[in-house]
Amino acid sequence: MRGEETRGEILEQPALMRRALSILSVPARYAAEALASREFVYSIGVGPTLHPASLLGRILGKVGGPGAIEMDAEDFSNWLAERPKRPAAVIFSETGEEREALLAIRELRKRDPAAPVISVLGSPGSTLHRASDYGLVFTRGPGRMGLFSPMSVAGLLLAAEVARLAGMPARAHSLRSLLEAAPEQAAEALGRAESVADEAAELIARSRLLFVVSTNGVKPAAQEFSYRLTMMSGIMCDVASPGEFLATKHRLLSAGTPVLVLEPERNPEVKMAAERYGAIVIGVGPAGPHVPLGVNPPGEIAPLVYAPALLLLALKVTLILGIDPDASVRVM
Amino acid sequence: MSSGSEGVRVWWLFDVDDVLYDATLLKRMARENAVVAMIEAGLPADFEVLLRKVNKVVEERGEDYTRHFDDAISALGLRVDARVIAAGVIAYHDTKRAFLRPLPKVFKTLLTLRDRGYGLGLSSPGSPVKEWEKVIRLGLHHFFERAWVGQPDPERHRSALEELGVNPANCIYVTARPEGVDSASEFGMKTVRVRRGKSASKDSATAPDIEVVSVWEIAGRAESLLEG
Repeated sequence: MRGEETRGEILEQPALMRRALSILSVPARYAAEALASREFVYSIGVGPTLHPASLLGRILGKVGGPGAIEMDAEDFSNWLAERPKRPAAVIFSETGEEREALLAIRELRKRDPAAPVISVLGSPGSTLHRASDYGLVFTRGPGRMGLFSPMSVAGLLLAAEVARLAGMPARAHSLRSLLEAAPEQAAEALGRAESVADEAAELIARSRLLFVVSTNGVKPAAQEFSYRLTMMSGIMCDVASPGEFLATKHRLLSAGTPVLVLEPERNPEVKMAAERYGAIVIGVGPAGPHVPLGVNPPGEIAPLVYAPALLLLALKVTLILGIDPDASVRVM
Repeated sequence: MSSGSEGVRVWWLFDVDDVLYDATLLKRMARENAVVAMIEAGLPADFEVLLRKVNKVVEERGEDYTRHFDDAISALGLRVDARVIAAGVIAYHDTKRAFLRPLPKVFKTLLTLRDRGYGLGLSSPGSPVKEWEKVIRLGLHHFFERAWVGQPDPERHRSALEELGVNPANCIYVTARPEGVDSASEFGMKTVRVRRGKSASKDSATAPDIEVVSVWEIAGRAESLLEG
């Protein structure tokens, strides 16, 4: 049956999260020590690994840790500050061999030879692994659905350990507890999406272009969904926060363009703005309305919970278009 | 009735921001468009993150600081690129020009007050050149016979009262700033609070003589304010 292998990988995501939690907890503890003493962290990704990097970049400052920004490895050399203040880097990479990621390390160390580099990897023994001070390795290797879930777990484990080292043990404990609950919530959301996402998939499949509006908390999951949807189905996606959408992008909509809104109940004005120009709004959130996930995860773990359900939605769209994602050329 | 209780001329002194034009809307739109422009010029930053950082710099360094965008980009650990800054500055100024329009019925209100014989003055704590730039762009500069711009609230009110030589009760200060109401009240001036803009939900320590949402409402309430 078409798409069965891809479906299997999506359904496996909650189990991957549990495995990552068990495998990466100890290395994350050691690696976090290198981060906690630094002033600024560059959370770097390459292609789809920018999405878990984005999750870490957003959470680090909120747990008492150093300031942080997420960056694409391709941009890093060009945009790194001339004199970064006691920087560190966390680099997410599936193969550990991407030229941009290796260049990023070289550039960072050129500016500050003492800057520690932590890599979150899908392949042990790679060049990036050897060049890093610490490696958090999840050895499943890149599949069709990549490593968003385990890499996001790695990032959140790092954040929890940084919180502990920053003298916020309660925050660390709470983040850790949320992480442990995430696989179950993700499984529940997946189960719901399996039975209710068909109508949403039909609406998305009608257009070659999809706007995705996501609150900042869930944005890494929105980015992951958009990337996979484009790769599998060829539908082009434009991801924006509600603020960005309301400031500019809703004015670019044409009648009939689908707009996928994540957590629509948090930003009701997005629906009104999108419908002003005739767009079709599809809501995915705890209560739907199109894809009710039945769970309302806190912001820290929301991307982990949303991502598998959204990947399933992307698969359904792809199948409606008559494309077999199992047969498509692997991009990674 | 343009005269106060002592038969002398009554003066209306107008603040500029959120009184004569929608300053809060202008600044927020201009900052948002500047952030979009900087990202479109290649800056690898998230819209919400960069906008929050710009707003933080504005809050910390004040609106008249000249390097908001540079500081925001540096605070994100990124290289300050002159091309990106220029893109932001252009977008900011283009938006500013588009939104720098008098609020509805401001012309009519000023004309009405002037025709009734009141004195009209400007009184704003902002940077003098910037305040005049706004008033000239708004096309309102010919309405105001006198202006006190640039000094902080107490000094400006003191100068205005001394130069006009009027009893403070014959001076009405129109402002959207709660601290502006407090300061003018301390001098015994009458106050009109315009509930608009970024401070709209904040209360002044001293109650204003009247409160309005838009400045055009004052023309109809001028007499009752002076009698009160």
